[in-house]
Amino acid sequence: MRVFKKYKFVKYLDGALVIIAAVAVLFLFLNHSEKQGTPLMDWFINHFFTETGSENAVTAVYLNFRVFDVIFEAMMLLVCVMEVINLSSRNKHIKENKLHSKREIDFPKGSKFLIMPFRWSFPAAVLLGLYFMMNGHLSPGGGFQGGAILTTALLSHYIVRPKLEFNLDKLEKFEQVIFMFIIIVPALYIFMDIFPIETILTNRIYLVVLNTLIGLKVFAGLTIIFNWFVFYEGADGEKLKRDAHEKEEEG
Amino acid sequence: MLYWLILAPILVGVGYLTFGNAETKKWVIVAQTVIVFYASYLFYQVKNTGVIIDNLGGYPYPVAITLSANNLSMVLVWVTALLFLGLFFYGYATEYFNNYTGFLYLTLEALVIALLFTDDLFNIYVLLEVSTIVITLLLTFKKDKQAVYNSMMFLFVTVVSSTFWLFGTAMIYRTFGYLDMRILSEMITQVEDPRSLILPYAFLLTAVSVKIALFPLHGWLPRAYSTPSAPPMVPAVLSGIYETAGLYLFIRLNSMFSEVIQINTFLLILGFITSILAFVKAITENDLYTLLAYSTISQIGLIVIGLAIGTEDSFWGSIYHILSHSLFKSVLFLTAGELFRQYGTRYIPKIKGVMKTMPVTGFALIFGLLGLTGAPFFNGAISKNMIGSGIDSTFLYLLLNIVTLGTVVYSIKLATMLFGENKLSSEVKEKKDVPNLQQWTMLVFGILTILTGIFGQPLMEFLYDYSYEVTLGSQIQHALTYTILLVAGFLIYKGWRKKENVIDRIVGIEMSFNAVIRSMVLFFVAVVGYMYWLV
Repeated sequence: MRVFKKYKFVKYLDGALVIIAAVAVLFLFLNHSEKQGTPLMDWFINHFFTETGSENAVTAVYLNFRVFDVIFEAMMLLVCVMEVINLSSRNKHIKENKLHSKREIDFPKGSKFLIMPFRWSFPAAVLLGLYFMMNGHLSPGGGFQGGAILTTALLSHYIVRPKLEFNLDKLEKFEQVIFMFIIIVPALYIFMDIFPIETILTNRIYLVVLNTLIGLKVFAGLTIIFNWFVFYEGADGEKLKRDAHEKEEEG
Repeated sequence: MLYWLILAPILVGVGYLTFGNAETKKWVIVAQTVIVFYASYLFYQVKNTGVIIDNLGGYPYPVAITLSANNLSMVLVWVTALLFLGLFFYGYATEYFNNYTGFLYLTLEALVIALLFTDDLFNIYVLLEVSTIVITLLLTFKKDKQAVYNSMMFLFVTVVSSTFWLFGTAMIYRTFGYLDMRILSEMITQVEDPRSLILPYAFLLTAVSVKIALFPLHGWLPRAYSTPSAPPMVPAVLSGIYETAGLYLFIRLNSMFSEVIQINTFLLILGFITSILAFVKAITENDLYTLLAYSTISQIGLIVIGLAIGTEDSFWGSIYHILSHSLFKSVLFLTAGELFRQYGTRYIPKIKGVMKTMPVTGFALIFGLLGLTGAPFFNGAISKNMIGSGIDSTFLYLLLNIVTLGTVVYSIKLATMLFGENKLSSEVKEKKDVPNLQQWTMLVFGILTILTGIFGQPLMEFLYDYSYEVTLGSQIQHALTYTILLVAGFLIYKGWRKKENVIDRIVGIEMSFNAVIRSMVLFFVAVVGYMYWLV
């Protein structure tokens, strides 16, 4: 309410309200709560290896038992990428001036001290990311983690040489096509049971395929967001906006 | 095969986003028609064989994520698909429909259908989160400052409310070990201490009440709906379709806990306050979209009243009102969009002479208003009668008629746009509008409001197997009440206009973001306190 802003006591009122709510929640939680068992967890733990062929229970849960949620989580990343780009004020200028493809930042040549470790870590990070993606069902890891590691591998590349190699438009389209496959593969394999016989081998192939798809999608999404912020939103973005303004005034 | 109704729109949407252009636009409408046919086929299956249950992945019942279609949810899904088809026809020729927004609308359709089918509490959380982002994207179509502020407020309020839902789900999972709503309804009675259910119920109720904009958690809705640059399809989708999903969640939540927790009196009071406060604000409001937003809040208050009363008649009346509200509110919002496009302004006193310049839109507006106020033969009348039939006390019946009276007054305010001289600049006057696809779509919606009214009882039996007896005497009585209210409303409207500024200052409080969050915490504490005292 606009009238409240004038009064300082509103801060204390808010504080008091939060404390009352916290006390109420804690009191009820400590005195009046019950646990009636964990049937869902027990069933998952007892059946995840036989039903899904995965040795990692978490992978079994998110790629097989509750894959319906994961489809929407993947969609969440897709729309968040759209949201980041959409809410950026640079968007209009950039799309009009077709500067979406190649960008280079004026950056002093990186110190050798910085370049040397990245020369070693970059291939290691790529390998590690791919390993986590594909081995998510045998060890802790999975598509989401592997995709994030692949992105960090790429970030290290940019710390050394800030030149935008990717065409962000094409990367967006790549992400969208991968998302279509993330919907189709579980729909066919899990919901429709298209394979007549499900053995451990077919289950594991499915897990590897889906983990890889998710990993690639996460990689694409995070790379777009990161690149957008580095190349279009940073301090250099101001220069870009000024250039675009000048072009508008000329033309 | 319920999941195909959810996955197909997403696939079509992403395909259209990646590969679509102006020529492939028509395939979206073709795909949507196929979706409507599939929904109709599923509806016939539900009607003949009963509830359809899909345990995803083939895993046993309480363990897997389950999609279930009973007659309530199936009808709402069917109506959602039909409404989206109508909206796609409406938006086909406009500039608002490119591959980006087409993707967003199709995804929103999939999310709403998923919200209506799913039985899993955590799945609902994920769906709420994704739909928040999708709607925020739709609201910031043109990035002017006010639009960004309104959509950011909507984003943050909804994200906080989704967090409440997550907390509630976590507490339920801790207590019972399951996430499936159907098995939870059975297990709820096995709790030793009923007070252990207070926290989960309060958390979940706060989340759902924000979504359906129940007083005092309604502050986000007028801002979100009246974003200056949002195309009219967006508030139409939000109020006609998204609120439907929220109301269905509200019903399911209360029925899940109904064996142990009943706070119907509390909800009844809140419903009345919501209705009355909203129509008072609507009467003083001069911006077209904001007025319709408050009208939506007022109608939702009416639906909550019907649910809280508890009798079977009023329950089905509320359900029917959800359907009629989707129809006539979509008509009104789309008409408002047309008026804004033609007149260039949303300021009601400036818009005049609609019947002369845009007769098709004018008729659609009339149908929408008659449905909203509950005129005899329109769909609003049947639902309001059914809600009213469950009330015993005369005081509450009087309050219900006051709500109808308020609705009539702001409808008259809207109706003044139809007549009078078009005093705007000559350029606007000369924009002689030829009835196009948009206007005919609106008129079809408008005609549906009268058809669902005249054939209301057979439709009710067809959809829900519920028959409601209406005698000729009660119909005449309701028609008479309506006429009296119409006359009274007209007189009040004339008298109100003189005092408008004073009343506006008293009631015209807009809630800021801090106020909405404050009211959320207050509501939560109030529900917890009330239940602790009650149970």
